[in-house]
Amino acid sequence: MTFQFSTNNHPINITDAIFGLKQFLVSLGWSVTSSSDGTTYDSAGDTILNSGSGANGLGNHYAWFVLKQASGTRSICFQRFVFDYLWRIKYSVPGFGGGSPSATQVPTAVNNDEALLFGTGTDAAPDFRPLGQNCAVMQLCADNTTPAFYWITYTTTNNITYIGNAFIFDPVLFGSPADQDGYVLYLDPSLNSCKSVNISNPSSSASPMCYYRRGLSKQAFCKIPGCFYSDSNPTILIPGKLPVNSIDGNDDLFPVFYAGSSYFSSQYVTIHYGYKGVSSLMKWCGKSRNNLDLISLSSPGDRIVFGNISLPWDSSTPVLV
Amino acid sequence: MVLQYFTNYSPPTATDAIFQLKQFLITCNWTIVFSSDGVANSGPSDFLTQSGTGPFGFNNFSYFVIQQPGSTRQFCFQVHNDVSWRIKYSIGGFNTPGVNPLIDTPAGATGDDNIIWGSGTDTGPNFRSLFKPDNTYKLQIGADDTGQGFYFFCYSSEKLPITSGIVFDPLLAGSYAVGDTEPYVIYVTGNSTSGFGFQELGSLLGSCPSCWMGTGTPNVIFNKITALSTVHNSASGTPATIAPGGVGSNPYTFQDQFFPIIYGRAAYTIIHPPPPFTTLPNVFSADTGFPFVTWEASSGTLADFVNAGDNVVLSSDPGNTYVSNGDFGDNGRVLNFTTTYTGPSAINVTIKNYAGIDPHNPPVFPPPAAGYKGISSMMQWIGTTRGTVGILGINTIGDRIIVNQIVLPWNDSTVIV
Repeated sequence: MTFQFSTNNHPINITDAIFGLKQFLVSLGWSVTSSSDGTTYDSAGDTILNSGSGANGLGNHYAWFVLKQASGTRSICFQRFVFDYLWRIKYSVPGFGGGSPSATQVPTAVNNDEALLFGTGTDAAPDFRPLGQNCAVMQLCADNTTPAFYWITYTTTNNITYIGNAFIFDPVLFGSPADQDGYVLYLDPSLNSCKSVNISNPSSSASPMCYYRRGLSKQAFCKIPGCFYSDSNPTILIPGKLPVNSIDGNDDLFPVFYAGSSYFSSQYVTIHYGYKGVSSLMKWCGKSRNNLDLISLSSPGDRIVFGNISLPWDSSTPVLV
Repeated sequence: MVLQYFTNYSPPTATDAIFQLKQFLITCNWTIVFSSDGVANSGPSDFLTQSGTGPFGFNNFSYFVIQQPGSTRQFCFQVHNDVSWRIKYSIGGFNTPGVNPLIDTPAGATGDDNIIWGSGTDTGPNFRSLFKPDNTYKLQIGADDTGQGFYFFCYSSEKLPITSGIVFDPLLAGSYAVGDTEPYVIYVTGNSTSGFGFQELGSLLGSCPSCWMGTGTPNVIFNKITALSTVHNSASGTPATIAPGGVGSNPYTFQDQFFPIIYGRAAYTIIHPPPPFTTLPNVFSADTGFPFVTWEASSGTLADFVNAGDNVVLSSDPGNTYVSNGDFGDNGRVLNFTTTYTGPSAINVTIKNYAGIDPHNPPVFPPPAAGYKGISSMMQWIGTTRGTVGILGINTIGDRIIVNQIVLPWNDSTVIV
C-alpha cells in the first residue's frame, strides 16, 4: 500500500475537477466500465476524454461515467446536470450492470444493490445536488493497491483557504473481518468539509456514510459519524483543544473511530448504531491548525491539514491558489 | 510483560487488602525499601509481616514504601483506622526519612513527592477513606511480572459501584512521545459511586487519574489528567457517547467492542495580568478551559506561593470568600478553580494568603505542560454497558474483566461476587 499523489492541480471548474479525479484513478488501475458524454453511450468503456462540452466531453448535460476499483467490483457512478456544479453520485458494491443505461441515463447496480451518495431522484428522473464551487486548487491522493482515495478542492482568498469539496473513499482499519464492505464514503461539499462539525455529526447532510451490517439483517447504507474525544465535563478535547506534545513539541494525531451511538440512533432514522472501524486516511489534529499546514508523522511533511483532520501527503508545498 | 493474578480474595479488613497487594507485588519483584509498624519497628526493610495490629502489623500510622523493579519509582502507603489511607508516589524515591520514622513517612525530593490519595504532610498527614466497611467486598489484583504495572480493585456486587481501586498504568508502547521518561498514569479511587467510570476517569475533579506531564521540560508538572471518551455530535449539542457504553456489540461477531483510553488534558488558557488583581472569565471553572494565573515574588522561592485551600476572593462580590477545593498546583500556579461564578463578563480575583509575593513584580511562569500523554495499556473502554464486574474476551475467552465502564486484563477465572 503506497499512496500516490497528484498535487496542486488547477481545475477550471467542478467538472474539470471530477474529470481530474477520474483520470487520476484510472492511472492507478481503476477502470471506467461504462460512460456517456450526454449524447453517445459507451456500454463498455470510457468515452469521456476531456472535461469540456461537446463530443467526448464531461461538460455536457447528463454526461456520466462509472468508475470501478482496481481489484474488485466496487463502483462509483458520477452524473452531471446541465450546470457544472450539479451532480448525482451513486455507490455500489457489486457494480453497476443493470437498469436501462443510455446516453442520458445512468445504469442501475446489479440486483439494484446500490446506494445514493449524493443527489436524489431516480436514474430515469435524477435530481442533482450542488458541489462546492471553491475549486481553484485540487489535491488528489490514492492508494495504488487498495481502493482508497481523497479528492479535495479549495480556494484561497486573502490568505484564508476555503475548502470547497472533500470526497474521501476510506477503507477502515480494525473493522470486523466479516464486514462485507469495510469502507466509509465521506463526500462533503461545504465550507465545513473535513471539520468535526460535519464528520462527527449525524444530523449533518454531509456526514460520512457506509454500509452497516452489510450481508446481515437490517443492512443499511447510513450515516456513520467519525467520533471525536471528550472529557466528562463534557469538553471536546480532540480535535483542536490540545497543545503540541509536551515532550517533543510535535503535533499529536488521533484515530477517527466510525461508530454511531445507540442512544441517538432513534433520533436519526438514517443512522444505525454500532462500531464500523477506524479511518485509514483521516486522523484528528490534537492541536488546531490551519488548512494546508503540513505535519510530520513518520517523515517530514507526510500529513496535510484540512479542517480538523490530517490526511496523507507527499511533503510537497501545497499552493494557495 | 505477563500479567499475574491474585483473584477472588475476601479480605477481612482494609489493611489486609493492602497487605495482600504488598505481598503480591513482592512476588512480582517489587521491593520494600522502608517500612514501619507505627509502634516499635521501622527501617529500610519490610517490618509489616501481618495485616493485623500489634508488632509488625498495620497499626495507625504504619506505612511501607515499595519500589518498582529496575527503577526508583516508589509508592508509599500509610494507614489510619484501617480504611483510611494516604498514598504518595515518587519517581526518584522517598529517600529522606521522617523526623520520627515510626510514624512519619519519608520524603521524596522537592517536586517529586506527590500525594495521590489523602492530603497533609508527612508530619501532619490527612487520611482519606479508601475502603468500604470490612468484610463487605472481594479483592482482585493483576500485576505484571516485570513490574511494569498493576491494578487492584474491590467490589461488593456485580451491580454495585466498585468500592476501591488503584491502577499503576504503563502507557501502551508506541503511544507516547519517545522522550517521555515517565510513561505512567496513576489512578486511585475509593468510596465513589463512579469508580472506574467515565464520570470519574474523565474529569479533572475528584479522583481522576494523574501523571507527570512534560518530563525533561521547564513546564514539567505532576498533574491530573483525563481519560477521554469517544463521542459524536448530536442535534442537542450534547455529545452522544460511543465509548464507554454506547455502541453495542459487533453485529458480525456479537462480541463486545473495546476502545482505547486516551489520556489527555486541554491546553491552558494563559493569563498574565498584574497581581493581586487578576481578571478571569466570568465562569472560571473547568468549563472555560482551565484559566491559568501566574505570579511570583521578586525574591523568594517557588514554593512560597499559593497552596491548596488558600482563599480566593472575588472582588466584584466582596461579601463572599470562596475557598478553593480544586486543583491548586505548586509553584504559584492556580491550575483550576472549581468555584463557578456567574457574574459579570469579567471579575477580579485576589489570591490571598500568599507569602513572599511582590504584587508589583508579576512573574511569567511557563504554563504547565498539558496535552496528550498516551494510551492506557491496562484499561479499555467498554462499548456495551454491562454489570460492574464480569468477564469478557478480546483475544481469548475470558481475558478481560469488566470493572464498571472499563475492562482490565484477566486470566479467565470465574469471578466470584
